[in-house]
Amino acid sequence: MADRLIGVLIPGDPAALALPTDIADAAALLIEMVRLRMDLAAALAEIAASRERLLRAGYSERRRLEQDLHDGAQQRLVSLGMALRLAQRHLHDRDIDLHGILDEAVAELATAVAELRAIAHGLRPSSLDDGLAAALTTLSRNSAIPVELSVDVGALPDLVSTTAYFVANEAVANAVKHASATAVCVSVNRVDEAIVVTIADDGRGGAELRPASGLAGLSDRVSAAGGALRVRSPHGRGTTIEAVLPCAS
Amino acid sequence: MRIVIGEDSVLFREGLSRLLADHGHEIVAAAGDAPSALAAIRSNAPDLAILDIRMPPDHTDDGARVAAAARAEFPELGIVLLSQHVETRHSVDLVVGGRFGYLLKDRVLDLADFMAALDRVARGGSALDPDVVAQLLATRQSDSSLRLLTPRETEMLALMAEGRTNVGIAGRLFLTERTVETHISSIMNKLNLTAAPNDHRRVLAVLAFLDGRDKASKAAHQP
Repeated sequence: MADRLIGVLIPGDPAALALPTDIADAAALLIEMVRLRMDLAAALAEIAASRERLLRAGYSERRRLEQDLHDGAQQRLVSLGMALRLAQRHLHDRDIDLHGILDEAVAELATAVAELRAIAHGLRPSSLDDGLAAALTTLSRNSAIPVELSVDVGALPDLVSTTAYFVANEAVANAVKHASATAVCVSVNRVDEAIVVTIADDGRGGAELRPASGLAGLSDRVSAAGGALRVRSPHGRGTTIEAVLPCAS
Repeated sequence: MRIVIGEDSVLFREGLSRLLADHGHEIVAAAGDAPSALAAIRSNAPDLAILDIRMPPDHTDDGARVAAAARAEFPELGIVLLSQHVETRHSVDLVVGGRFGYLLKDRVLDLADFMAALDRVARGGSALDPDVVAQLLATRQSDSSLRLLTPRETEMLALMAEGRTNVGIAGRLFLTERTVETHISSIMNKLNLTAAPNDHRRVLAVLAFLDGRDKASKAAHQP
């Protein structure tokens, strides 16, 4: 069909070897339609599945946040309150180390603030307000391994820059945590009507887009933004993750 | 009082121990997880156990399960569960049993109130967090008899549900005990509740009303 091979007709009777081309032509349209319908059904099923995965990922993220807040900052602030109450009860006591209690309290407060900052940063780094390049620079500074950064794009829509940031963040974290990499390169370029984010490490490779993995979650996010995520990770030869995000110039 | 604490956050545990000791209580054991909290209650037979609901090993309702086990073995033990968030169903069930308290963790900061709640629970009374009571009240908002109460009476009903005594309510609202008594008999009348012979019975009656259990039990008795 349109010079493309979409199937082969095999006549049952060897005598009728020469099938009229009009039969082939009539069948071709039907076959092509069935094939497209099957493709469409598969694509819709994948979309439904990925929507569910995104929803689940969102819920488990909320759960993790709730626990971090309860077990971290909230406990710390109540303990701080208790220390202050104790100090208050002994305001006029000369034999209790008020100075020490207040010092401890301020130290607790500083830790609680740091914990809250870390949680807020995990939600959305505020440096994204200054653009993707600024956010990635902060990311590279806080990384446990050296990050070579090259960002060659201007201002981007929030959806694109936030998604790009989370791809880079997760990929760099994976390089440190799972790949035992010693260095990683992050680059962001514009290719036609898309932004391409590439993260390449020198670790042990062997990463896969397994269901329910962090990478699969990332792939869902990229797909939801209309893009595609590719993973190349040959054993022993590093991992390269590439996200292509549509972005009109 | 001799007190056992079960709380996994070291910070909170130590802060609470210091405060309680400062108020003249003796901390006989401070455990960091559910099994050792139960073991500490068994070996020390304290007057009161203060337990965090969420503790290792499961980080779910481990503290509540320790409470249930401890209650079965030591009927006289006062138990106060501390929680990070309001949970109505669980807490009301537990408090109805008596010698029980259910409070949000940050109530600890209201020292006088918190210490009074501990005393009340150890002496056989109850302590239900004001937020839990507020939720109960909110769910009964549409009840016609509840709408008969004046704002002052609603406030007093909430304080009764928290488990406070007349003296406690009087102190809280800057009223004389006599005035509180008058208000309370008016509340009991309006809600059609029989005047209770003691504080705990009164809490039971008020909670049964707030929780809608009075209706449920009446319905159950109908043929």
